[in-house]
Amino acid sequence: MQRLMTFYDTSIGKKLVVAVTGLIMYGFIIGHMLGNLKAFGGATALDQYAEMLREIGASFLGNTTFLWFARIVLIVAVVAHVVTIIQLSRRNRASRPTRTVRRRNASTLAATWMAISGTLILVFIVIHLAQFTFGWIDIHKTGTEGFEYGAVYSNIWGAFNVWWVALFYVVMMAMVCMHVYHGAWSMCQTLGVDAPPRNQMIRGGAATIAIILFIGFCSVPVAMLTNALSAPPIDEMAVEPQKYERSPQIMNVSEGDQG
Amino acid sequence: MISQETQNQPPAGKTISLTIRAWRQARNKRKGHFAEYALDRIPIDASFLEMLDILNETLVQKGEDPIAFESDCREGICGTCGIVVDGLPHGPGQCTTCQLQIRDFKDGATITIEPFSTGAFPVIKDLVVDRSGLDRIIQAGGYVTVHSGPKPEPNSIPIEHAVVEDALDASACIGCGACVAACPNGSSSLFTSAKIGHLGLLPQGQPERNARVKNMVESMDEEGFGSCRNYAECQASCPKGISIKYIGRMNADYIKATISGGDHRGDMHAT
Repeated sequence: MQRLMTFYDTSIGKKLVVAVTGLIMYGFIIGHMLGNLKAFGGATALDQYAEMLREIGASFLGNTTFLWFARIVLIVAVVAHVVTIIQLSRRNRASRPTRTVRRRNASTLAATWMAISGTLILVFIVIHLAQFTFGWIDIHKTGTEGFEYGAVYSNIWGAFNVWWVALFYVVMMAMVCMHVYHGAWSMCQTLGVDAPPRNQMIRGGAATIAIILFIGFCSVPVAMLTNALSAPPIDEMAVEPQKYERSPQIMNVSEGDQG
Repeated sequence: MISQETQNQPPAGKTISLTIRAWRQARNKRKGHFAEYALDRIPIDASFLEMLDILNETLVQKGEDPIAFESDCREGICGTCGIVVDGLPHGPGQCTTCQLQIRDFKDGATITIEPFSTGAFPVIKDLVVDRSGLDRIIQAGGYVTVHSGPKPEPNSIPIEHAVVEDALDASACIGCGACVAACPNGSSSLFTSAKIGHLGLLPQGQPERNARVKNMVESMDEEGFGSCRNYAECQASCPKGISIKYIGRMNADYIKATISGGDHRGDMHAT
């Protein structure tokens, strides 16, 4: 325990925490991006996929148990990542009290923007959850249905058809991808898995994955905004309609709005 | 009879004029400021530090305090000199400050010179900083134990050529502190990792390997150096071109040392 505390107290120990928590989140966003692509399979495919996520391991753990386990791991990872970074930044500021005319020579934009992109991502996560998980922020194109729990395709279709929502997501994805580009190869350095014969591959791999993530994430809002992905069927009841207690009255109201 | 004017005239050859914007700080606790000095007739063949010598002579003649700066070998091998020139530690190019040449600057240029100051490198005076933090990192573990008897037969411990080269690349570190000055976080990771890599790669460095990396890394943090964020600025300004790969190696070594909990032999502590 003592050994672990000393380890965590050093900058390398802290960086290791940042690297490992970063790796967990890196795995998550890759999965998230692949999941998003289900939207191209249509409303039913996406909604069923969302329902499937809730049912992983349901046969012996019960519904959403696995989902909550994953959520807790992610929440712990985010908190540990941010707290450790704040501790490190505080030390780094102390070690650089005077800022005179220093020129940046080798750092990439991604490296110097880590703090900026990281903060923006944190804000983005809150907005994103409020918009698509809890439905507290319900911005949708006039004429489309508002947020409805479980109707994933319909929810994102309505939101991404507002041009500035789509733009906001594209900009934020640029931030995420910049952050994970530097984060991914930086993590290899922190874990000490990089070595000169592999470095080119690691840097190249980090850049490729970042670009794939950007394209993958942005394809859905762009496709919805440009109508490459069609509007959800109005009576779309993709997964077990009675489960969400979507009463016919509500449907009538939304149809009335359109008329 | 030669006039004062002719005496000061440099020998035949091209000269340029420069404006030097130098950091002046009487001592650590005082506030520093930039002072501008106009210099003309600087011989094009002069080195950068010779130019500062010329400037200091004119300052002494005027009865002013000369600009304090460090230098020793002026051959780029001792690591004593170190000035931030135009925002870059050791100036443009992969060399030490003493290897900067006036011919590389444009006529009429304004050159800004600053000390290597960071939180762990406090200014002593003008361009001189206290780099003893690096010495204490070395004291924490930058050594190998050898028996003091007769010299062993050199070929008794065979070492793979690639390993020798790798260790030699790390051992090129002259401890000038440019990596710390270049780092936006004021981290000495490149210096520490070069020393750890240099000793830890060779068989002679194995007995204290775990204790070395632990002690040196912990000493680096105690000295108030920042953490590495992989900007790679250190690598770009290292006069010896030491790669940040040694930082990755140090990280891996530190993690291993933490898991194994120190050395099981060669531990010289009485307790």
